Amino acid sequence: MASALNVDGVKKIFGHNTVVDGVSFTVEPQEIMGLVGPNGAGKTTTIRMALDIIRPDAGSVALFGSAPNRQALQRVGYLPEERGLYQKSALSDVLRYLGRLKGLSAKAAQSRSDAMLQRVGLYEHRAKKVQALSRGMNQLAQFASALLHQPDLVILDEPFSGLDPLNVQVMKEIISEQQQRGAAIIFSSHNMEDVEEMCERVVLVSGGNVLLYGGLDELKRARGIQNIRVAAPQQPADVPGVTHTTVEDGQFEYLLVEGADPNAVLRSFLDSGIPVERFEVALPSLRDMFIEEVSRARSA
Amino acid sequence: MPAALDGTRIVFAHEFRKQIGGKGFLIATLTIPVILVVLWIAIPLVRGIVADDAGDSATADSATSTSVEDSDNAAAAKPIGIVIQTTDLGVDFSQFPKYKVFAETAAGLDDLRSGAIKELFVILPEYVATGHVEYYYTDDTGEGRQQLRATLRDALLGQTQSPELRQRALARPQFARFTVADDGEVAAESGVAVAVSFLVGQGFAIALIFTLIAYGTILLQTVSEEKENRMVEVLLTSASPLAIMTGKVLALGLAGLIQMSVWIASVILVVPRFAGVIPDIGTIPIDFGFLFLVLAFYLAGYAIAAALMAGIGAATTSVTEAGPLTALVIIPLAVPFYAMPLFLSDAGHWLTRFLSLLPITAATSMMLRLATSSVAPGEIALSLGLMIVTAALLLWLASRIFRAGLLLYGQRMSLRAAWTALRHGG
Repeated sequence: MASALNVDGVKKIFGHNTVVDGVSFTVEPQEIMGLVGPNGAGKTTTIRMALDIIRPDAGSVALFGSAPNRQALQRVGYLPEERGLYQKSALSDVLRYLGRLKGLSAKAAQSRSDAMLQRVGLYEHRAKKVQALSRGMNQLAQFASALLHQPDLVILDEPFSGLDPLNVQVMKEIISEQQQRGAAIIFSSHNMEDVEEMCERVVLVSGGNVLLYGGLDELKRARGIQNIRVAAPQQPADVPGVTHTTVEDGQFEYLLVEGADPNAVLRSFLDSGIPVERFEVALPSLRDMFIEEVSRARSA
Repeated sequence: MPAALDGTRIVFAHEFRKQIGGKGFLIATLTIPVILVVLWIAIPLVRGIVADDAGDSATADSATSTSVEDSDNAAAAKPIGIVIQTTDLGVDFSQFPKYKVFAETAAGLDDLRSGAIKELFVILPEYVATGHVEYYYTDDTGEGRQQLRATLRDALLGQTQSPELRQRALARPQFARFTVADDGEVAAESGVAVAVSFLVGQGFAIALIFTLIAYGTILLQTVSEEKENRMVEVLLTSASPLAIMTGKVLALGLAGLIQMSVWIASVILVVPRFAGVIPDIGTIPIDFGFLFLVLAFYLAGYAIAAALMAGIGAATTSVTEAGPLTALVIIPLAVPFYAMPLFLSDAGHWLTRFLSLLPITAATSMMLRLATSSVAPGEIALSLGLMIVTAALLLWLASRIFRAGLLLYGQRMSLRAAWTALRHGG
């Protein structure tokens, strides 16, 4: 079976600014691929090239095995970062229209729109004008509209921004359902915890270049034991072998330099007389890898 | 159905429903019919009150009505007087029993005054070049002019191979109208009659231009709102930009056409009812050929204005920003109105011809020329052809800008930014 999306060495230059510089990755059916990177990394431009909204200056894109064409694009559901709906139209009218544009018959567009609105909890609001809905409801409606036609490739650019945890949970469940249905999903987010929770593979882009690409577990293991988590009331003045420290929820997370001994960290706490409630040697988090890789790329 | 056509059809249906489903459309469409019906009802009522005040004189008048009808019947049987001052025509009117040919205008006028003929036409020396005909009458029923038009057309088309004469045969004669009063005094047509002709001709064209601008502006708003609402990116992955633009232009064009049709139909149906109320209004002929041409130029003009408005909407970031730029479309459409004296005095002037061939001013210019003079069929076809080609090119360009406009989110429009976006928009 052909890959849902194959991006091969695409490059885009705006004026004198190389926004995307030889990015390559593949998304297979029934997988969730994380597309991550700092602001201005070239993620959205890459997505737009994948969807034939803008053309690459070099490289190629294959959607379902062929160059992006109208037929292939009908199999894509897209929730862009820059998004919105017709504010003065009724919610169900907007969804029905978008469903029709994606090739659904009038009857199917109506029934799918009703079903998706029910699924995201907006069915009671279907007759309301979009402008009367809250921001979160708007976002759920846009999410629903991207999935109406049961696409084979779903591209979600920052789908959870501005949503409350309950709605984030609803969305995560639906994304998971889409994956089980067989859809390939590209999930772009700045929230590394969400990406780590949902994606099997990631591609990290910065400055238009791919910094990391592959299975999340593989990438972590390849970096070795570099992360230490210590639950303690305070930390010693000097923790040996640490390159980066994060403090969160009364817990210290240390990123170690290559070859450093995790036991030396524990010893530094005990030698300072600080009681340790929990000591954990962990694989690096995606956030750690993100910070490390992007910092390294920027300083290079 | 090919995907592009399907996309156009769906966008068309959506935009059309949205447009005609609004209260604004209903109110605007019904305004003219309602005004006309109100006038139809109100004017006789007002006149009835005036008539009551006039008292018994009406009773005396009614006694003579039978003899007036008899006199009308006699007038219908009278010949039409004609004076041929051009040597280029080659039509012998004496072969037609309904015409009485005079050598001099004065002799024809004497017969008109005496009631021997019902009206007199003088075909001027420059007729073949200009279509100018003098028309003298005591009571204009419109029939004489129609008969002369038909005779000239049939005779000229049947007898000549001269392209100039054939062109003249197909065009309408331009009548300079003179009334002959009961005392025999000849006078150029009254200001009221001229004003009525103006309302039917140029006035109609002006009304069309206003709707053309209105629907062009609505189109600009719908495109601009899609950008403001951040819908563009999703739409572009669902249909081609050209399909989106074409669907919108057609939908709003049809809505405008429906509105215009209701207005025209109401005028055609209701205005003749005023015949007994406003003197002579029933005698104003409805020229369907003229209406057809006006409609053709309306549609072509709309397509150009709509494509330009859509392009402006696509290139700007909001309706507010787009607003002032609409002047770029509206001013050229209005330019011919500033040259109105020229259109009225010399519709064949090089400037009026140029304006009616320049696609952006052609719709208005041609409507004015058609209402005031005859225009050669070749010129009409060339003007329409240029407008259609221009509209297609502009629509294509607007769709490119719509796609490229995505790269201009949050930026103020500048020619440089628009050009860069166009280049990168694929």
